[in-house]
Amino acid sequence: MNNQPRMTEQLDEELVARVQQGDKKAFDYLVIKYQHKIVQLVNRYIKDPSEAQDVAQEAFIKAYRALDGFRGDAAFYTWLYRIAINTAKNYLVARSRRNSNYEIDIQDAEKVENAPQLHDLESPDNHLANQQILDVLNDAINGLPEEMRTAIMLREFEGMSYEEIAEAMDCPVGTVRSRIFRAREAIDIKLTPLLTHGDFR
Amino acid sequence: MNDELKQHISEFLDDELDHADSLKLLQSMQKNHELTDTLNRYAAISHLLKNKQHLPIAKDFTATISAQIEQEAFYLIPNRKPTKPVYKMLALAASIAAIAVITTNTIKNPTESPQLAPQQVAQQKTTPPAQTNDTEQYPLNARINDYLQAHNNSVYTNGQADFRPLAKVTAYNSQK
Repeated sequence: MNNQPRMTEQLDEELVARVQQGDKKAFDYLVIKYQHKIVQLVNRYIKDPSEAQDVAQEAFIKAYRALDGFRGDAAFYTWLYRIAINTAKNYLVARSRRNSNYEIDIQDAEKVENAPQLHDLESPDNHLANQQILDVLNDAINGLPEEMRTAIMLREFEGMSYEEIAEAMDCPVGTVRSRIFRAREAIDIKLTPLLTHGDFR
Repeated sequence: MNDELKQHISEFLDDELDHADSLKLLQSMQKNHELTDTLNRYAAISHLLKNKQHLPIAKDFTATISAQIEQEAFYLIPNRKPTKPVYKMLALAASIAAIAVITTNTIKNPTESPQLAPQQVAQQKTTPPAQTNDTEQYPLNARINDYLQAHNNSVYTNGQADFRPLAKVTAYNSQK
């Protein structure tokens, strides 16, 4: 039985309580913890990475302002997730009002989640850069030892917990932890020269 | 940065790091941005694997939010459960019913039981002998009282109807 979801919820509850008592630093921890998830979520609606990031930041600020009313009826991430989706939808509505020629509407935005091909609307330069990154990624994965590749695939594609992977691979959980980390590190080393974090602005 | 710390970041990304270590790691990340960059790179790899799309996160992402909330006023509002609207409606209905009963009684029996404040009731119980004495001692007061009673249109309320509480409205020379 995997108790990780409960553990992460406990951490969130503790951090939320600290923010509600006036500890603004605790909110930074929540931002660090969820920034990538929220940016990825908003990016399903807003394809431009820079805009998606601005909207994700706006969602976090809205969440901070509303946090004193958060009573913990739902998990913090579920609550934050709803705020992020609403912020993204409101952004799209406001943008379509500003520019009536803009063809995207809320229904279109909701279809994006199930239509990843819509991401191909990016510029040719970006498309090329993305393709280069994907090629390097594939090379990096193919160069991994079998057990590392299996461990990271089960984690990323099957969404299995470490305990489940350990059972599937018939090895201790500690070994799974190590294999997944080593796989990520090997991929990171190959990709780092190509990845320009934050330079897209 | 040592490998143990990096492994913790990898576990943290997968929600597989325990509570105490997660908190410790977050504290370290806030001070050391290299750790946050590592988390963001691992997250980008994860996203790339699943979605075939590179989605970088700006280095100043957290700092921008932090700077903005630093300017926000903080209101220490305790968690409170909002009063259910049903109770509010019941309270309002009860108040209206009470006002209706009092008003109806006042209209039906205008002289029988004027609404007096408890203090006045107590005063009434204790003061009649004193009033008699006053009239006997000061005959002018008795004449003034007679005059006032003859020209008096008074309304006493306890403030529940739409009148001023304990207001006395006297019309002198009303025949003019």
